[in-house]
Order: sequence, then C-alpha cells, then structure tokens
Amino acid sequence: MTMRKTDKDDAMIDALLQDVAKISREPDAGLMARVSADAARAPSIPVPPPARGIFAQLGEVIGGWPAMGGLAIAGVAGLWVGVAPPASVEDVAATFFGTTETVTLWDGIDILAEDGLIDG
Amino acid sequence: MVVAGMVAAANSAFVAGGGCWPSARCRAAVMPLRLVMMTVPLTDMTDADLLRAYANGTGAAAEELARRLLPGALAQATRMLADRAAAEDVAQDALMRLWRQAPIWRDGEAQVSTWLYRVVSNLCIDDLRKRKRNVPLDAVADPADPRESAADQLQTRARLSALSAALAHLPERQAQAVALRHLEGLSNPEIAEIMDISVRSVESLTARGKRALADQLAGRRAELGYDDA
Repeated sequence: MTMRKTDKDDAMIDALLQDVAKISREPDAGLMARVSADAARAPSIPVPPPARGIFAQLGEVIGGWPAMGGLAIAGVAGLWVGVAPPASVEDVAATFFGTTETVTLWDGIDILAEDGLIDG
Repeated sequence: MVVAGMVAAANSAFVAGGGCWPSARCRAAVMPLRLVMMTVPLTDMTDADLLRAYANGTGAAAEELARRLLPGALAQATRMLADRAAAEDVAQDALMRLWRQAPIWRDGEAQVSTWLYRVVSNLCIDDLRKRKRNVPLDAVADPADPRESAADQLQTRARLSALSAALAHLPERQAQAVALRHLEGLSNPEIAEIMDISVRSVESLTARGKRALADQLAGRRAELGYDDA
C-alpha cells in the first residue's frame, strides 16, 4: 500500500512540475517602465573602488615606490649624519648658529668612536 | 537604435582591438570595422554586446536587453514564488543588478542569460526562505492561458501556490536545483554552472528535492486535481 502511494505521489509531482513549468507571464508596461528607469539611473551609480590601505594611498600621494625608496635613503642618511656628524657639519653649524651643543644618548659608551667612525 | 548600436559596437571593437587609438595605423584598422558595425541593429547584437553598449552610454541597448530578458526573469520568478508582486520585485531587482554589473562585466565568464538565471534563482530562494508560508490565492500570478475556464484558472493557481509553498520548505539547494531543472527546463550541466557545483551534485539534489516534494504534497492529489495521476 505504501509503495502504491509513493508511486502515485511521484507521478503527481511530475505532473505538477510539468503544469507549473507551462505557466508564463509577460511583463506589463508598468514593470517595463520601472526597469527602464532603473537602467537610466544605474550608470550614474559609481562602482566603489576596491578598498585601499593607508600606506598604499600615502605611497600614491608621494609618487610611488621610486619616490618612497629615495625618501627612505634620505631618511637613513639623515639619521646617520645625526648620530655621527662629520666635523665639517659641525663647522657649518657653528658658522650659522655661533655655537653647537652635543648630546650623547649613550652616556659613557662611545661605540662609534671605538671604530674610528667619528672624525676627531 | 541602429545608430546607437553602431557607436557602441565600434567602441567595443576598438577596446577588443587593444586600445591603440589614436595612432594612424590603428585608425586605419578600426575604421572599416566601424563602418561595417554601423549597419548592425541592436536587435542583432548579442546580450553581451548590448550590455557593453549600455555600459558605454547607449541607453537604447538597455531597453533592448530588458525586452529580451525581463519576460524570462519574470516567468522564472512567478513559477517559483507564485506571487505576482513578489515576482515583479525579483525581476526588477535582478535587472537592476545587471545594470550595475555592466561596467565590470567580463566576457567569457558566463552568458548574460545564465548569469540572470542564477541571480533570479538566488533572489527567489531568499524570498521563499523569508516567507515559508502559503501564498494567498488572490496574490498568485495569473495563469498562462487566459482562455482557461474559471475553474481551470483556480486549479492552476492552487497548483502554483502549493508547489511554491512546498519549495519554500525544501533545503535551499534542493529547491534551486528542482526549479531550474523541472520548471526552467535547463540541462544538468547548465544547472551545474549556475549553481557552481558538479553535474553529479545536481542529479543528487534534484532527485532528493523531488522526493521531498512528494513527501510534502502527499495526500493532496485530489485537492490539486491529480487524483487520476
């Protein structure tokens, strides 16, 4: 009995799907007008660009990787001059400002002088 | 429409040609093609070309696309949702997504019609999942043949409503596969592409989906007019 019922239900599903598949529907003028209005409006909606990180945006402003590389080299050179200023730099500074003052960050440890990296 | 089509087609021909404009050699290569394209009416262009033309500013291309695609999208949504207003909303939403997709549409990934089947199907599944209830008969879409008798129309509406309600209670993937296979008449490979699964998975989903539908609608044969099935 159960088998007969299942067979009939399966047959009904086949028939139901076939009948519903025949159902169609044409869009009325109102729907077509709404879709056309959407189409007229849609191109003005900008597609958001992919999210970009703050460093990528900063690099773009500066001028890309070549400029960033030059900036990095200049930064390292400046740091080096600050840590171990050549005598000529101190002379120029004294000429402009009258006097200079040296600050030692490593009190009692002159690691650079040991290698002879500081003039004088 | 012909003029609009020619400009868009020539533009797309230029883009496809590698974008060498405005060198003299490039112009010499493109111009004959452009003249040939001038004679192509929008109605003869492919869906993808129309979409590209629309993205390039040819509004008439969108109207032609809507004329081609909207009836199918609306019918697909109607068969799944059995609700006149909901089906219209889904069809309109699907086309809106197509317009927004136009500027970033990439050839070779999928046909426009296949893409639209997927979008409509997904939107319908979302709608069915939210409702999971019987659709009132007065909201059910009009049947295909207005020459049917009133009794036949009522029967058709009852069947549409019953199937939609049953689909709403199926697992989403089963409902989607059954609808694409048996309501839209797509092949298993087409469904596999739309659902991004294997053909064997499609076969399994449709078989299980049909069994689940039979379980749900068991005992309603007489009500739905299939007593002699």
